[in-house]
Amino acid sequence: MSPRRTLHTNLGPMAIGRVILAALLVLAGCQVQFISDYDEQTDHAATALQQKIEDFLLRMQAASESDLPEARALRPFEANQDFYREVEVDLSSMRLRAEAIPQNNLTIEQIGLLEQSMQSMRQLHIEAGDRGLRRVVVIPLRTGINTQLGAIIKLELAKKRGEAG
Amino acid sequence: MAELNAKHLVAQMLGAAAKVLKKDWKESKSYAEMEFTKLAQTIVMIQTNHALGQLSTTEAKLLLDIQKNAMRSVMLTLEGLGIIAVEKAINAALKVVRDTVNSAVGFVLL
Repeated sequence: MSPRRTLHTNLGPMAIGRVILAALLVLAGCQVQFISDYDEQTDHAATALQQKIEDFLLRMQAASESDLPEARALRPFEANQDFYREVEVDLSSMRLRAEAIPQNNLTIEQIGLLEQSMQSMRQLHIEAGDRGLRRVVVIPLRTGINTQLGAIIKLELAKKRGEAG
Repeated sequence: MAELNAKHLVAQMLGAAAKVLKKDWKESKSYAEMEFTKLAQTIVMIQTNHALGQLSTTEAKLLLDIQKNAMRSVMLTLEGLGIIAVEKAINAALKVVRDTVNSAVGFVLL
């Protein structure tokens, strides 16, 4: 059996320093990027969606607190299906765009969570029946949904990385 | 041409990176505190209203699911802020190397 060859090295501190320096010099010409660039459309879409949902929830709360016939007619889920369909389309567009941008997994996941929350909100509205979305439901709904949209917007703005605009 | 010293260069790079990370952590912490406080108060409110009979069990569960999603979204943003902070710190450190080398050679090499 032939003896194993062993490579013996004896790099002194000066040599190690030179290796580190060489590596740094190679890297210095580069810039690293681990997350996608800022996307204005995602920012604006999330902002517009926040306004749409907020407006809807406040109208539903008002309808639940009024005894007027027109307010009662506005309360049930069946009278508001267009709203849920529109939001579903808005979120689908946002997700499609986010998926087309490289290094954008965090935002994609956030949009997925928002889609889940909108499904829960839809269920809440169905569950509410003729009472509609009462204040005791709308308050925590607004907090949850606004927090999610706020998180999406905050992350998107951070991707500007201190650029002007 | 001035001599480049690796140890000194590494110390300068670490200084530049630490400055970026310290500032970004302060901002992230403030955001996290604000959002988690809001969510915690909302969760308590849901449970209280359920106990008082103002929310059905189904309603309470659905609302808590939404708060969980909100918490997860905030965590994802914090993760993103952390990644961007590290990215900025590394790029700040690399800029120190570029500036030091270019200064040492007397022209824009990197």
